[in-house]
Order: sequence, then C-alpha cells, then structure tokens
Amino acid sequence: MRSLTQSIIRILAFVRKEIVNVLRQPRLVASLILGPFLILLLFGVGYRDEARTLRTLFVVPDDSPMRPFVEDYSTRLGRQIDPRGIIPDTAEADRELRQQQVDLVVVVPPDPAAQLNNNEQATFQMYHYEIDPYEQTYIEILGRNYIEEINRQVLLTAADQGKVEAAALQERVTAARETATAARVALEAGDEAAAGIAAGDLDSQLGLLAVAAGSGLALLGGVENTLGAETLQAQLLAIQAASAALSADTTTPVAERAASAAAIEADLAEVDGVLSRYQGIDSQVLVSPFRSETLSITDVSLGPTDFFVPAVIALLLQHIAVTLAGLSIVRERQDGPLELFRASPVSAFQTLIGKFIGYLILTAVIGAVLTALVVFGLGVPMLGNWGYYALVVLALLCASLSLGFFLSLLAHTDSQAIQYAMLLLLASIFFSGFFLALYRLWEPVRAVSWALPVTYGINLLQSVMLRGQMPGMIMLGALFLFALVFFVLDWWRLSRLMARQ
Amino acid sequence: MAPPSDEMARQNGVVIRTHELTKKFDADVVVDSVTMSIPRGSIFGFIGPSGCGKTTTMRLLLGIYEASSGVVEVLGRAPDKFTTADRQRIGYMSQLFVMYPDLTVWENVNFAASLYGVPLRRRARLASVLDLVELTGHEGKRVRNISGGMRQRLSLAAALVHDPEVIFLDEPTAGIDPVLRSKFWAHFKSLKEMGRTLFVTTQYVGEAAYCDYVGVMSAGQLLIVETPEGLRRRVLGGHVLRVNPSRLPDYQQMAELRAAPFVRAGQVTVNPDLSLQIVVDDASTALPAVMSWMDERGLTVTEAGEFSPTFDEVFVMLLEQEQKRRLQGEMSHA
Repeated sequence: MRSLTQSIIRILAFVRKEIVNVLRQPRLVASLILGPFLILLLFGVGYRDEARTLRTLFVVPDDSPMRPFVEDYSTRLGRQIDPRGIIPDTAEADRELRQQQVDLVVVVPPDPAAQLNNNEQATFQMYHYEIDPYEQTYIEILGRNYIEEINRQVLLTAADQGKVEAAALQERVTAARETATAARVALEAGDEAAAGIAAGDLDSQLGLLAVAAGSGLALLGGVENTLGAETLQAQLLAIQAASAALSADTTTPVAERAASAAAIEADLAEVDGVLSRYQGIDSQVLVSPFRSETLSITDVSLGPTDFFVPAVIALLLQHIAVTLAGLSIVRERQDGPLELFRASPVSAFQTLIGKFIGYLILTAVIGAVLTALVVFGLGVPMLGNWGYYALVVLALLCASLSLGFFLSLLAHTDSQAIQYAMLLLLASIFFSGFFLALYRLWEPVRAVSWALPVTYGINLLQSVMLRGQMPGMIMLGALFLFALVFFVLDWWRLSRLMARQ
Repeated sequence: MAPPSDEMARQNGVVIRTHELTKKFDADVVVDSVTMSIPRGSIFGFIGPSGCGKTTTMRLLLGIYEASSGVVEVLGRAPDKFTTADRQRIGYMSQLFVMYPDLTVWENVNFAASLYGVPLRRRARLASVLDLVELTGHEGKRVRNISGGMRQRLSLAAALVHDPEVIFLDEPTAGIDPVLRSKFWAHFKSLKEMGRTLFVTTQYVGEAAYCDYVGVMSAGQLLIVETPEGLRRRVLGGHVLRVNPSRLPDYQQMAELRAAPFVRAGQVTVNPDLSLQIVVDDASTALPAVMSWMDERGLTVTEAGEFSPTFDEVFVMLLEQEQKRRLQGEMSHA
C-alpha cells in the first residue's frame, strides 16, 4: 500500500511539474491557444470564395470575319473573362503575356467558315503563363467553358433561325391540312374525281414539307431523338407515305379512303401543334435542354472555413502535443534531470505516465478552448454529439503524445526534436487529407497517411462536426491502438535510457 | 588500496565498499581498479584534477553506470540490486545544476521530495531543509531568477529533502565564493554529526582539511586514501622542520646533517629563501636535536619550527611522486 502511494506521489509530481512548467510561460500558452484561433479567424475573414478573373487579350486579324463576333461576345463570357482588348498581332500579345500584363491570350481562328467547309473544327488557341498546376487546370476548364459558350451562341443563332423556318413551315402544314380536309370531304361526298385531285395536291405539298423540315428543324429533331420521341421529320415522312398511298389508291372502298384522309388530317394537326410548341420554346432551352442541380443532404450549408476547421483543429492539436512531448524527455536528458531520476527511486513508467497525464490535461484544455472559440466565436457548425467529439480529441491527443515521446526518445538535442516535429507537421499537411483528398495519393503512399494520427483525427472530427455522425469505431480504435503501441515503445526506450550504462 | 581506518570501519560499519572497481568506455579505462571502504558517519573527500574519474566513480556507486569489473557495494548492496527502499536512503547532488528554471525554489524541492516518495504532509520537512541551506524567504522565487550560490544551495536541499543516510555530492562547492564554501562544509559537518555519510568530490584540494578521509585520484587510479594529516605525512615521508640558519652549512656539514640519526633517509633540502627543510620522524623530538647540532657547528638559528605545507602543495607533491613512480616503472619495464 505504501509503495502504491509513493508511486502515485511520483506520478503526480510529474503531472504537476509539467503543467506548472508550461503555465509559467504565458507567451507559450497564448501562442498555443490564441495563435491557432487567430490563424483560423484571419483565414475565415480573408478567404474569398470567388473564381479568378483573367485579364484576357483577343488576337483577331483586322480583316477576319470573326472580328465583329469577338467584339460582340468578348464582353458576354462571364466574370472570369476580363477583356483587355482585341489586337491583330500575335507577337505583341505574346510579349504582354510574358510581362504578365495579361493572364490569357485567345487567338481566334481567322476564317472558321473555311475550316468548317473543309470538315475541320476551328480552334481557339488559348495561351497562358501559369506555373501553378491548379491555375493551369483552372485555365483549361475556363477555356473549355469558353468554347462551350461560343458553341452555344452558334446554336442559339441556329435555333432562332429554325424558329423563323418553323413559322414558314407551319403555313405549309396549314395548307396541307386544308387540302387533306378537301380530299376527305370529296370522298365522303362520293366525288372521286375531286378527291383524286386533292390527294395528288396533298402528296406534292407533303413532299415539299419533308424537304423544308429537313434543314430548319434539325435542332428540334436532335432534342426529340435524344428524348426517344418520334421526330418531326419521321412524322412528316410517314404522313407523306400515307398521302402517296391515298393518291394512288382507287380500288379501296371510299369509306376507308375517307378514313385515311381523316388520319392524315389529324397527323398534320399534330405536326402543326408541334411546330407551334417549337416556336414557343425558349431558344436557350432548345440549345441547352438539360441542366444540373447539385443538392447536399447535409443539414447545413458549409463554407470553406467551416470545412477546414476540423482539419485545422486536428492538425494543431497533433502538432502541439507532439512538440510538447517531443521536447520533454530530450530536455530532461540534455539538461541533466534524467541523471537524477536514474539515481532516484522513480521508474521509467512513473516518469512517462506522469508526463503523459500532465500533457494530456494541458492539451485537452487547449483543445477545449480552441473548439469553444471556433464554434462559438467563428460560428463553425457543430452538428454532432459533444461526447463523441471529446472522445475523438482524447484519442487524437493520446496518439499524438505517444508519438511525440517516441520522437523525443529518438532525438539527442532539443533542436533535433523540433526538427522531427516540423517534419511530422510537413508530412501531416501533405499526407493527412488536410488539403489534398487521400484518393489523390498513390495507394502505397497512403500508408504514410495512415501512419499519422492526424489522418484519423481529421476524418473523425469532420464526421462528428460537419456530418453529425457517430465516429467510426474502427478509426477510433485504431487511434487508441496507435497510442498504446507507441506508449509501450516509449516505455521500453525510456527504461533502457534510465537503466545503468 | 587499504581502507582509511580499519578501526573506525569496524566500529561504525562500512557504508561504501569497492574492490578493484573498474569502468571502461570502449578501450578507455576511466576508473582503474579502485578499492576503498568508507565507514558510516564520515565525510569522504574525493580529490583529483578535472577528468580524473571522480564523477564516473560516483556514478558507479549510485548505479548510474555499470562496472566493467570489480565489486561495488553501497549500504551493503550492489547498485544493480538496489531496491526502491535502498534508493530512498541515498541522496545525490549532481555536478551540473539540474533544477527546473521555471519552477520556484519551493516547487523544485517539492518535486525532488516527491521523486523520493516523501509523504504529502511534508511542509515542515521542506521548510526545515530550506532553512538548513539558508533559503528561507526565497521559496517563491523562480529558479531562473536566483543567484549561482542559491542554486547550489537549492541543489543541496533537493539532495537532502528525503533525509538520506548516504549523501553523494559531486563538486558541491564548485563556482561558489569562499564564504559560502565554508558554510557548505559546516552543513556537511552537521550532517555527519547527525550520523550521515558523505561522499564529496572536489577540485579544491584545500577542502581536504574538512574531511575525515581523503581519496586522491589521478588518471582513473586511486593514489591514496588517508586522513588529511596522514596524507601530509605519507606524502612528505614524515614531519618536516623548517630551519633558518644565519648562514648555510658547508658541503661537509651538509653531508653530516643528512647522515644524522634524527634526519629521515637523508632528506634535507635547501629552499629558495636559503632556509633548510629537514624531514624527521617526529618533530617534537627532532627539533631540539637539530638546534643542538647547529649550535655545535657554530650555526646560529634565527628561526625554526615544524612546517605544515598546504594541501595544494601536498597534492602537487603527491602527483609529482606518482609521475616519477610511473616513469620508473616504465623504464624498468623497458
């Protein structure tokens, strides 16, 4: 019993010593708590969720038929394109680009019609001077959007033209309907001669209709084809076939032929309706019949700061824990107290667990204050259960402290320990999913990610804070296992260090 | 090397014992066959130049280092068999200052007390030990703000806070002023009177006078273990008389003096101030004989008496003798 009491006294001595030692350094405490909060605050205030605007120069020869088109559309391509002029000289545009006076140079094809006639696509060349791969990708995407917009403008023109043609076509359909009505009425009256004449007229009118509809209504036909509907063209061809049969047929009983004429009449009425609807459809809808709408099933709309907060908390807590623990043992060794421990009755386990508890209390308080500041100060959503949150933070801190002690036992000087902690921070930024999603990493390299406590921490904190989910038990268990394995390794290393030499 | 005082060791019991204790770091022999016994309730001064192996020997006794060969026992047990209870009976003040600068004087001593498992109701004990080292009134000061002398006293307080039986002090007086050094030795003496055993290393040879026994170490070897007075005698070969005649004896007279029965092994030397230094077996009986011998030869003595060299001088002489002995040994081998 006395031995247990003495053991507890020794452990508590380390707990108290480590806490007091840190609290006696107010600047350190301030930088540990306020530093991360201020960084988050500044990030939140300073972050602008806006696409970059590119200063764009267009290169079009003076005599190009495209020049009026570019002059018209250069200002209608969205906020991302900031037109800085149209010049004919490619070399001058290149110079301005290299001097970074503009961000993008668009070389417009001088005679696209000639290329189209040669069955070639006309190419808009876009030059940039970016070295950042993300910016390069942004410009590529913007270029694609830009060309899609131009293509859409071309289609809009075609659609408007198609509507004009549809109006003319509708007049022909009306005339054909009237002829079909005349044929039906003549058949019903038993006037075979008049009916034959009317059927012949109808046949020739429908032949002309099919030809006219072939070019002007291609756009509508394309949409209908995509939707799986019978196209206007096919419908007209079918009506024409029925009309030809009616015109040539003199043997079938009159009543049946009158019924055929009535059917043609009805089909033409339907075509008439289609043409009316086509003219009523907005050209924008015609050229872009589909659009996407993205909806999230999370209960809250998240800003970029909100998304990064759990990751920043995880990263900072790991870094603080690793740094405190990392400096702890190496300083005891470097400054001499370890020699006193070796001569005293204190054991490696008592030393380690005392320090561990001390730093766990300290870092947990730091974590709690930091969390309160970001949730209640910055308004970052906390959708999950606070108990789960505390459990995840506890697991993360345990794993990070064990890892920190391990680094401390590897290092021979405090500058070496700091170097290890900084390397770990760097690895954490790149491999933990902090700003790069893990799927972007080559699978074997992901082993590095899962060797870092922060990877689990980010994942779990995002689930709890932003999705309101219960933490994944496998990940949580992995963090505690990580802490246990490294603690045992630390204990073994410190026992060797405190043993006789 | 023989025990310092077999009689005292028998009476009080041996607290520290080594036999042929050797420590090697790779091929370097840092402690070479050290044999000694230190009785309970004594102050053992371990003297030697920097890097001679004093601290390593102390670390071997504390169990910080493992002996390469030989026997070592403290409180009747080998350090590798020390139990927690054994370690609680030992106090250690290391050569370097190892207290925590951001903790206060009180917190540092309190931490040391906890390491040794002192029960939590310990305020009186802490106050008492701080009083002993004259740090009362400075309890709340942060260690980074106190003077070098106060730091040394704090280290001593931390080594004594659990009231150990055996106290190892590694150069406790290094870098502090003579007044404080004198106070430290007064503390050590009071601890000895309380029955504690102190093993103290020092570079200040003069501090040998405060010890019950002195061990002199050089190049890893324990040259001698003696009482301070015995050390003088062993080094000088007997008592030393310093005689200042009105004129120096001539060559013939000097030869006669060296052959005189009261002179030990012909040891007569002329000092730079033209006085004579004569080694004798017993100063009290030899001094009248010398005076008579001078008088018979018409030599007037202006000043005569027993010469007591400082421990610094004794130490230098001892090292010179040791160097000479080694050279002779090497030559005879050659």
